[in-house]
Amino acid sequence: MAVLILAELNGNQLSEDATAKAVSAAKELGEVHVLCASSDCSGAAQSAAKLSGVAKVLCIDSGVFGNGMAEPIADLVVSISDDYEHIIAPATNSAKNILPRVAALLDVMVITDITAVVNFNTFERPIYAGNAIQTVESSDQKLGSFLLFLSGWKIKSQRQTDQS
Amino acid sequence: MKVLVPVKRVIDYNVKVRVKADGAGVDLANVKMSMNPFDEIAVEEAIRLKEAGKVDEVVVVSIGVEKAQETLRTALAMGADSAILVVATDDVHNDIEPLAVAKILKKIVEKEEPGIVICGKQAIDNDLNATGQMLSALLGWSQATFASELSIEGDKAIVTREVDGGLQTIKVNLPSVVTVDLRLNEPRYASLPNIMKAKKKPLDVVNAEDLGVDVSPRLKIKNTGEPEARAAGIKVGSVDELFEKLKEMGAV
Repeated sequence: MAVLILAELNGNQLSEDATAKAVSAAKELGEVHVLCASSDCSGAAQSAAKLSGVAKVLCIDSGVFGNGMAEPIADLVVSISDDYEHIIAPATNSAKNILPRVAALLDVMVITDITAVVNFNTFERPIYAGNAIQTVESSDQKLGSFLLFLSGWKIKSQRQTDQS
Repeated sequence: MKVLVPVKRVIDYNVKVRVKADGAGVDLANVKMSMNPFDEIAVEEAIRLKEAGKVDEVVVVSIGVEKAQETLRTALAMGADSAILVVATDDVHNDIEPLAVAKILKKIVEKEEPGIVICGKQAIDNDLNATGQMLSALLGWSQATFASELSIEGDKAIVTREVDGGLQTIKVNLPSVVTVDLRLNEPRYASLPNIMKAKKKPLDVVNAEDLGVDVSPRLKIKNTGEPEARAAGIKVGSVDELFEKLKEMGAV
């Protein structure tokens, strides 16, 4: 099933670095679709389409989303969530504002600050301010929404193959 | 108007976290526990709003083990008016997930009818940063996360938010859920007379089951381990050498 990535936007510009990192992590989980929702965001959508690994870009150009407010964007994500098994965003403050709201509306748990993908529903994340690393498995049937730690993420299975 | 402040009992922020050798989690037995620092800031802000005459009553609520009563007494000693404890587990190692917490808080909000909920942006144990946003979603209220300034004017709240690379000031309609960041205020210490007085303030105890909320976890914790130790640094003799090293690492 496809993966939805919430593009990180700075105004109506794409934050390429953050979004690209989320894309490269999400590629392992399925076909990557990127959502750009803002006012006048066609430029951002074009840039997102150029990122390696992106299969499709959804561009929703409306003033409602212009200030990046959580309430309308969360409703929008929920409205298209049926087609996706994972909803992912880079772990920025703006995504942390939105994704837990999406998760609650879909009755799933959010997993924040993922540093490694073990498999499609198992992830590593730091707890106690990085003093311990937890491996968590989501038991939510349909959908998980995740935030990816901006720096230092790694795909575990791939890393293990690299070493062998 | 009433303000509701959820507080969490967590490992004290000064305590060095010890990861259990068998990967079963972090050792919380015989460890000093305190109020989550972000929640302390939320309690302080609620009390300041009361002192400024913007709200009439401060209600604090905690969800977890029975011992969280101590945390609630701390909030009462700071100046909160009454407290509610929702007992959801009898094992301190059993963390109640934000989704379940938000569902319980929703029930409490429906009963207490606050005009605003002020909570910490995240707990320093699981670092999930989700409860406030989830509660706001379940209630269908507005949300203002990561607040570094908060004022209430009539039926609106004006909140300065810490966003990536700057500050954003928004105006939200009440009722609203506000989550607070570190820079909002500096929490007060409870004075001895207030600690004594807090013992007489009302503290209701209810069970999560009685509220009809399923608190069973959605996330299964497979393992908890120590983070990888940081490798020692190296000294380089010249700029050229530094450049070589960076090149070797693929950093440039």
